[in-house]
Amino acid sequence: MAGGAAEGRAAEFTRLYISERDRLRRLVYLMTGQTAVAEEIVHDAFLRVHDRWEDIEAPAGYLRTVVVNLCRAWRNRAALARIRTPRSRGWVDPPEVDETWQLLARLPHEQRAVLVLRYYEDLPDGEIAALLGCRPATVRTRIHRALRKVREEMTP
Amino acid sequence: MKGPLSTEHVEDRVRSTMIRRAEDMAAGDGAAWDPTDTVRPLGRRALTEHPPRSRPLAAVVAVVVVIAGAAAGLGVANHDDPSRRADTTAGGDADRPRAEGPFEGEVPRSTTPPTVPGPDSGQILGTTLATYVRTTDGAVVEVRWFPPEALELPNPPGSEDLRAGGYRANYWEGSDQQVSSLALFFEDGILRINGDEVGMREDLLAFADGVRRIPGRTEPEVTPPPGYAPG
Repeated sequence: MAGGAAEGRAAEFTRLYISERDRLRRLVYLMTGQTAVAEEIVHDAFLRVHDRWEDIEAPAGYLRTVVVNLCRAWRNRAALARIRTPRSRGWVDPPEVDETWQLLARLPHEQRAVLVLRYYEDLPDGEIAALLGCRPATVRTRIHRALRKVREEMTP
Repeated sequence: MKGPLSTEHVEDRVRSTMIRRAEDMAAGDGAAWDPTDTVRPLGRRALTEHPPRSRPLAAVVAVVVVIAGAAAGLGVANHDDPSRRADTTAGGDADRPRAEGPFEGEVPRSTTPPTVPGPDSGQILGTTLATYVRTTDGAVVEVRWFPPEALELPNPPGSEDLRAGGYRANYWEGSDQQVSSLALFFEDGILRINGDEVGMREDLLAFADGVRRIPGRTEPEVTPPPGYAPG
């Protein structure tokens, strides 16, 4: 019986993995700008969920929280690391997309994160605040400041 | 020309950029995974542009692991293209593809006899999600396991049954610039490559130069999965 329960848990975890992995990778990519980091962070998050599987009531939500936290931790570490040579991409985007992407990349992590969670994930202030561990008013302030920075540099 | 833009316009640009880049990423992934190959084009290009030895943070190795069912006893077939591998052995040139070795010609064979599986050789120390393999020299190497459906990797030739019976894993570290991939198979709890028991240090670590080694970790964190621990 224990084996059956374990198999059931494994299957459940696999379903979560398959359903959430790519979405989360895109989320992390937008927050960090690096596909490798996205791969790494998402896998780390799954590892943590796996380790705590029995104790987690809402794995998908927990997973997203872990991912956001790991993005923040990564950003803190990256700030201490030497600047790496940007890699070439395998695709070409319109100039306005490239420009906006570069502007987003220059934002402080906490501002970029709120923009991703707002405009890509379409989360309300309260959920963003919960994910980032701050108040909703802080979320609104960060969004406002981030958009202002982007707008100042954006080509009409 | 720069000028004031409305908040709505900026929001639209931000939103559309994120969606576009997320789609680019997804599309790039799809295009990168040739169903007949296990090495991403990005990784191949990166080999010549950014040799991993020149970048401390880019010690990058992808290890593709297929865990055969313990009782499956299936043969092992390497499914990498050796011409796409970098020589990451000690003193090797990361820009230069491997020329000779036991795995269809690309990995240097250990000069020492295969080690007898035991507590210090190829021992699997982790779970089915993240595992640690202890090498003959006492180092612990982390290998990450993924559900097969998520990887979209082809089965090695002649091993179609593996998908149902085990897992596939893809190991990344530090970057998505995949230096090489390596198929590892566990048969009866013994780690093998092409049917040979693995002399871990030479055949895995020297080959997979960037595999993460866990300093100081000598004990398993969790119980090995049933059937996968060496007897």
